[in-house]
Amino acid sequence: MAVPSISGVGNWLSSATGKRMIALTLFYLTLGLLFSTVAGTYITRSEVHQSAYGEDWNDMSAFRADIKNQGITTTSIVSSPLLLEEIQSPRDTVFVVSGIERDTISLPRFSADSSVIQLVEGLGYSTSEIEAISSFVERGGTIVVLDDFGYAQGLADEFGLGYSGHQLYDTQTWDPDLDFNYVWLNITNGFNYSSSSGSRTNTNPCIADQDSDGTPDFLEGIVVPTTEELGLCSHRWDSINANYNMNPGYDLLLNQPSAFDKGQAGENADDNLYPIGFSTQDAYLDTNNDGKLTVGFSGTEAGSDEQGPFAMYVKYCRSRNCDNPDSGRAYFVTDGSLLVNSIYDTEGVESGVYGEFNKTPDINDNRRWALDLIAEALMSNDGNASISPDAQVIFDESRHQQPSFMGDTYNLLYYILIYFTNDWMAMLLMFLGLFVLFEFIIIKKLDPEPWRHVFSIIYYGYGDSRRYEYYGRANKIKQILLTRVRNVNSLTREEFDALPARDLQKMVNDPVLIKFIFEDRRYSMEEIIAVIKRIKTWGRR
Amino acid sequence: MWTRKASILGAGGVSLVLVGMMMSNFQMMVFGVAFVAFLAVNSWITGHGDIQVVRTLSADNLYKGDDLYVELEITNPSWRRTQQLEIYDNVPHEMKLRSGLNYMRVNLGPGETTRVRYVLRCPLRGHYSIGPISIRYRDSFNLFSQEMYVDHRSDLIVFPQVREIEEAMVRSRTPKMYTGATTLRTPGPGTEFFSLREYVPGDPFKIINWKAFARTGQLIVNEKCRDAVTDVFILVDSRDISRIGTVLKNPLEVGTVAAASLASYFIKRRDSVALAVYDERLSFLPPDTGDKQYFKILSSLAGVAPKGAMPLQAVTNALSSRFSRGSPVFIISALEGDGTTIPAIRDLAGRGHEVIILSPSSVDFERLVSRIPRTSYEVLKLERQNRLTALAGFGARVIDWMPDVELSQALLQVKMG
Repeated sequence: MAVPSISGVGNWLSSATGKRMIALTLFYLTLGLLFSTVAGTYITRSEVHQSAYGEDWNDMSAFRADIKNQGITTTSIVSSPLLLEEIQSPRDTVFVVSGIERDTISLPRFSADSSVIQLVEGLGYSTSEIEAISSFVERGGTIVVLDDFGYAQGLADEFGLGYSGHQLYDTQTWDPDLDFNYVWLNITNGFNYSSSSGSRTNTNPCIADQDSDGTPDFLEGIVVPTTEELGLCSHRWDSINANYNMNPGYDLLLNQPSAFDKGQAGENADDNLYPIGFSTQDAYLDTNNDGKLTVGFSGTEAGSDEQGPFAMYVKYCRSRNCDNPDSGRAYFVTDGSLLVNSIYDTEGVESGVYGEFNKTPDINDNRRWALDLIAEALMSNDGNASISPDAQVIFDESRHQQPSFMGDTYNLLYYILIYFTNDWMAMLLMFLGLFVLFEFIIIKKLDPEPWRHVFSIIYYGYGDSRRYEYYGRANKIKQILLTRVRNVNSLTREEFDALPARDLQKMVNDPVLIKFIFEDRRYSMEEIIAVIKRIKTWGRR
Repeated sequence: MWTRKASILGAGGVSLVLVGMMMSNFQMMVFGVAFVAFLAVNSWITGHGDIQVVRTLSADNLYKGDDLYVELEITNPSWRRTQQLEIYDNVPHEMKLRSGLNYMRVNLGPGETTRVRYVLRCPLRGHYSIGPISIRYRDSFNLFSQEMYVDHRSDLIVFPQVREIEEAMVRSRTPKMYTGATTLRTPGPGTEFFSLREYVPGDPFKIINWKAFARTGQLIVNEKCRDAVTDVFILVDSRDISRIGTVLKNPLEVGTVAAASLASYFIKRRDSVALAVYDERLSFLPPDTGDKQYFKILSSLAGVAPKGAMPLQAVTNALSSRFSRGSPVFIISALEGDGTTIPAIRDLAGRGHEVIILSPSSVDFERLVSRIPRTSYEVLKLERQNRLTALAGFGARVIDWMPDVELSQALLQVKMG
């Protein structure tokens, strides 16, 4: 193979092909650099938190495993909760949002208010996504939102709630075996929806006991139930002592919790919004964000933290007092760590399943609470403990960092795809784009011209029309006549110029032409033509 | 390159996928994916333009108005089919396609050869180049096309036409002082044998008489009689103003025909012919005779293009030292736009040259492309007559050449002073 010489390479570089190749290479390099820069921000592997698919102490694999062991399908949404609109049986679906770590991408959308087009989205989820989640609940779905300082505010707003966004310190219920970040949320009865409703344990099939005999309705007449008979309430069965736990209260252990704003988490029966879990009166919200508990007079003194009690667990039901088992539910807790492995599975933590974790949380009711709400959502409450074959629990992974290579890039692209096929504004834009694309193709995209030879030499010529007027003037004609007289008489220019007028008249010997030579006036076209005719015939005599 | 069909198919496929997703319509999405897949598969099985082309011309030099036979031999040396292959031989637009087509659409198999034949008519003199060969290949469904060139060119020269003017020259009132080559009884460059002499160093080998050498053992050379020839000078006006008229009929075009015909006539008579073409500068071919000189003159006339405004007197002054004493000088010019014409010709005549002016009537050529008002036309003609009369008065033989008059007819119309 011949080695190209330096001059050959130089010639190639200076040729049109070489220049084009260089330009193309530079273009694609720049494009690649830009793309890798953008994609790089999504490629970086990050530590995963609160993922149902992670096995660390701060993930939720134990919760997911429990659900799977109960025969419920678990899955996840990595693109956008807009997909909830596609779910055919929302009554058999629970959507779990644990820790909203990322804000949404603001894409334009139509809004129902006067602004017509909304360019900036709310916190956490886009408006379309929030509408999709809200619609999911309206259609009978159940959502569980666990967040503290994340981006759950947008979704909470939809249900009339407000996350305070500040850490809560509880001087009474903090766990001295752990540290002040661990706070107990003690709920005497998780089914006391309002002050007037009384205990509504019948709304949960696991503890529904119409005849008040201490045995849940779905286990009436069964002494030692099998796993199948227990359905989704097996977590309440103590197989060693052959005892079924009918306790409606929960002692929930929270890690660095926040709380709802006081003004937005009161009991509001009109909106079916029921605050169930509260902090103690000696709880404070770190409203000045100094990381310390700053006690002031009634919490109103400038610089002091706000004093409790604060709502920390709020339940929303589409039906009043959650009486209709098919109506949608929403559970809001102000702690994203409620179901992480280190708190949810204390035995696993002790045995070191989740890696090194230097604390040993006490036994708590987080697991019972979580599985109770799953049972409430997915198990029938008619005493049969039946579960729909379509029952499923969906974990929202769209707001978590993805550990896989380019996982976030994939999520972003998938999000955009979902956005363009679900949002009306986006659909309109897409239709417009497709229309423009087709127009562009039809107008601009031309097939190569058919080749044909065109013979074209007879279509052009050359003349000088500017001089024609000059040659129609009397002075020019007079000059030509005099030249003709001079040529015919073989005179030089000097001889002719020196010629007396009388001699010139004799030479011409034509009264009309003599008059034309000597008379300086304007001539009509007819006169000019007559003079030219005489000049033409004059030389021939 | 994507064709419009491919672009519409691609856009349609993507649109169907998107709209299908939007409407949750899987049939639509399947159709969209099928469209895109169809495009993708076809993009892998396109043809190629890796072909060998050889062009054969019936002649490299030809005269204006002649036909040129062109043959392209196209071979596919690859082991793949070319698919839809379009081949187009780029022909100068001054040439007319007389028969056949310079275009072919083929689908050549591996090693297959095909031929394209066509005939061109060359109505305009000049230096031309046929080629390169444009190639466009497409896939079977006409979704993608690629264009490329095979840089194969064939150069040719179209000489001005040469008219037969011998009879006209004999019958014309042009003086017959230049009667062609005459043999003188003195040795020198010529054609007829004169004598034998001994070889002297410097003599060319081709004049050695080898038979005499074999017989005598001494190097003997042939000496020829010196031919006395007349040097004929032809001056062609190629200034910008000489393009007045149509592309095919203008003073310069007819002037080149006249110059070629005169050169042909005199070279056939074994006279030496010199050619001077003046436009923005002066191009001069020194007097010489023979086929080589004839070819040089025709080549030079083929490449003449109107440009510049060099005055005639500058030409005659520049050539005054090169003019042979008493040699005839033919000036082919429309005599327009040059105030030095009369003094230049007066000087030439004064130095004893026989000056013959062949002047295409530019006013009448102009009428072929412009509507000249009748009065202006008559006045222009009168002015031209004055000019020709003045030149004839200085002893030049003047021929007023009208566009519709043949050269041989025009040569009979010498205007004497």
